[in-house]
Amino acid sequence: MKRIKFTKVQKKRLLSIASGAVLFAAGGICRLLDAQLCSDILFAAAGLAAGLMCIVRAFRGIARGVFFDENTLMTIAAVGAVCLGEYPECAAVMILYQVGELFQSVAVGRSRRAISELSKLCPDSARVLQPDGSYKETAASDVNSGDTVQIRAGERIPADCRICEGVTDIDTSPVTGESVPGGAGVGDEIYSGCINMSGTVLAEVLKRAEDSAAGRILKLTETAGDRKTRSEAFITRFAKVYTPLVALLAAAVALLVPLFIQIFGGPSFSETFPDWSRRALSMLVISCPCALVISVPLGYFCGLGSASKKGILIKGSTYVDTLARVDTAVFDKTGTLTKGTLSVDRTEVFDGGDAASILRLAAGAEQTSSHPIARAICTAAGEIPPASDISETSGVGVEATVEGIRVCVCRPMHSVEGTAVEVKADGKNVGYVYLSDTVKPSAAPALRELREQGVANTVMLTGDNESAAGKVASEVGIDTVYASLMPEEKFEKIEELCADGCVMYAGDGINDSPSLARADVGVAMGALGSGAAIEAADVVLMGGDMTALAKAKRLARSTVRTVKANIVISLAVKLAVLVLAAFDIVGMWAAVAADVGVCILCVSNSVSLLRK
Amino acid sequence: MTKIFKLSDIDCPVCAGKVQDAVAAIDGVKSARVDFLVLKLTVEAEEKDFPKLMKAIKKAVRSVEPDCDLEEA
Repeated sequence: MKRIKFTKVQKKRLLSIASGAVLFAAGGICRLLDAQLCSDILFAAAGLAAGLMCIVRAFRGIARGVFFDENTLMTIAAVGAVCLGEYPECAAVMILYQVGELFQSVAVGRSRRAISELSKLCPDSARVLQPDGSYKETAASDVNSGDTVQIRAGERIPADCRICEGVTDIDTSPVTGESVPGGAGVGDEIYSGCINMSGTVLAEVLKRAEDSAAGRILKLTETAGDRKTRSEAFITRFAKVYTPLVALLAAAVALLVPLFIQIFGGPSFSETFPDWSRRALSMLVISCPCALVISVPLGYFCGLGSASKKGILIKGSTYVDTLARVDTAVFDKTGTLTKGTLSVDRTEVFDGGDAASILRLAAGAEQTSSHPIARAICTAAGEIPPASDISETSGVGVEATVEGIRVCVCRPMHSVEGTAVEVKADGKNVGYVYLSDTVKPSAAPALRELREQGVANTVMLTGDNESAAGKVASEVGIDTVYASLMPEEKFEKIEELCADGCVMYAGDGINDSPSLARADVGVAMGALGSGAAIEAADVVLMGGDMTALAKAKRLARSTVRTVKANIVISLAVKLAVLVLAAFDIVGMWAAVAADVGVCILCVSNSVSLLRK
Repeated sequence: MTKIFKLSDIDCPVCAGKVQDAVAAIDGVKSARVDFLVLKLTVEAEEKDFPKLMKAIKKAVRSVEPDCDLEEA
């Protein structure tokens, strides 16, 4: 178990609990020995020792003109208990109250730390190349774009930059959650927060640290608390009226009930007052709304924290609520459901040729081209033969001499299904190479999981033709497909769908920012580099892994469930204690134990979200 | 202009709300906001007023949370 470091206030509380407990135990022993006076004094001292902080705050509150404050009411309860001769109760109330406060404080501290671990994403300093060729250790926030920084193996990248010297492996997992390190060399862009694994590199800074990937992530998490959910707003309003209400109720029980009893011919006021005021004091014990109030924002906070640990950034607790309600999931095809890169699907061969040799010839001709189709063919061919006299005509194809054969790879003469190129050898058509965008392996399981999490309708939007779209849809299990859409039609479709349900739209954020903003929840996927997508989206998945989307939905649902459960449990317990105390079924002991117990239960419930 | 302060030892949102109200009530403070979860106090006031406001802000915070430390971020 990790050692808990206590803050100043927590140490104070610990000390007051310990001294209170020792005095309480001593008082208990005296009572057993029948030393009544001695035990009463010890119990009262225990209450004072444990409750000193509370009493001090109560007086400060009164000095400010605040009377209905839980510190004041707890103090009244404890002093009242002493006046009625209930010394052990006085001590117990104060000790248990402090235990509850300490527990709450430790739990809040723990979840705060879990979130602040994110801030370690940004290194504090960077080594900036000086005009004289030396390096100067500079605060990361003072590094400007255009500076050249040196990043050694094992260090974090201080700002988004482009490598200008050196080769290395980059671990992007702190930012994307994807654990496979990728190689990076001269000209590659690397993002802040990622770790340089193997070699020392020199890199030109492209963005200031605060505008870089890690800086943007931090800014997101820091402002996440700004948007309050309905539950949070409810609980804040409730807390404002709760404490005064309990106080008034208690006052009514202590004063009005005995008065009425006398008026209606019962025993006199002075006879019944001690009994009813004792009941009222038990009611005061649960006047502190903290336990109730804290578990709600803490629940959302832990949900957001847990999500960010998985590379899911949610812009505020309101989106946790909406995400939990989502029943329609809309996806962009290219780059979201698919990898967004082409690969060779199959080949069609004429006149007894074989697929491998056609791919080989095509790759030979295509080897110098940077066209996505050329890259896909070269990857599929593996071994690439040398070629000469290469000529490329943009939009048409390439021609080259490969192993004595004049090879031409070009756009097909006849219309074919999907994306394909025609391969000609010495002017004769020898076959077709069909290409397709590969579906992300995570897409199908993610859609299945989303369905289990209450998404009734899955929709795919794409600008591609019907046949290409249908193929992807059936492969991943999409319910509805809208193909051949213009970008603005995608936006209109989302508007239509929003009218019928709670819509989540997941896109790569490159040119669908309006759709991201329009949907009830806009999810930008793999939006590491795109500032516009992060702006427009409500949820940002740092990696391209689709299962993160399902995780986000599941986490949102369990967060909302936990928060609701906390509200119900704590309200029920508080209400029950109020009623039972008024009817003298439970005393001060039970009241304070129930109050602290429900606090511990709700806080633990919220904190447990961090482990999900 | 706005200034951001780091707070310590506020463990409940109700107390955070009280700190917020206390700071917002100071003469010269246009708005004040306490973000309970990241323990941040954001104060908006005229730039020239800040030096003399500092003491009042500190006092207001301490009056609600005697153990709360205030540090300029």
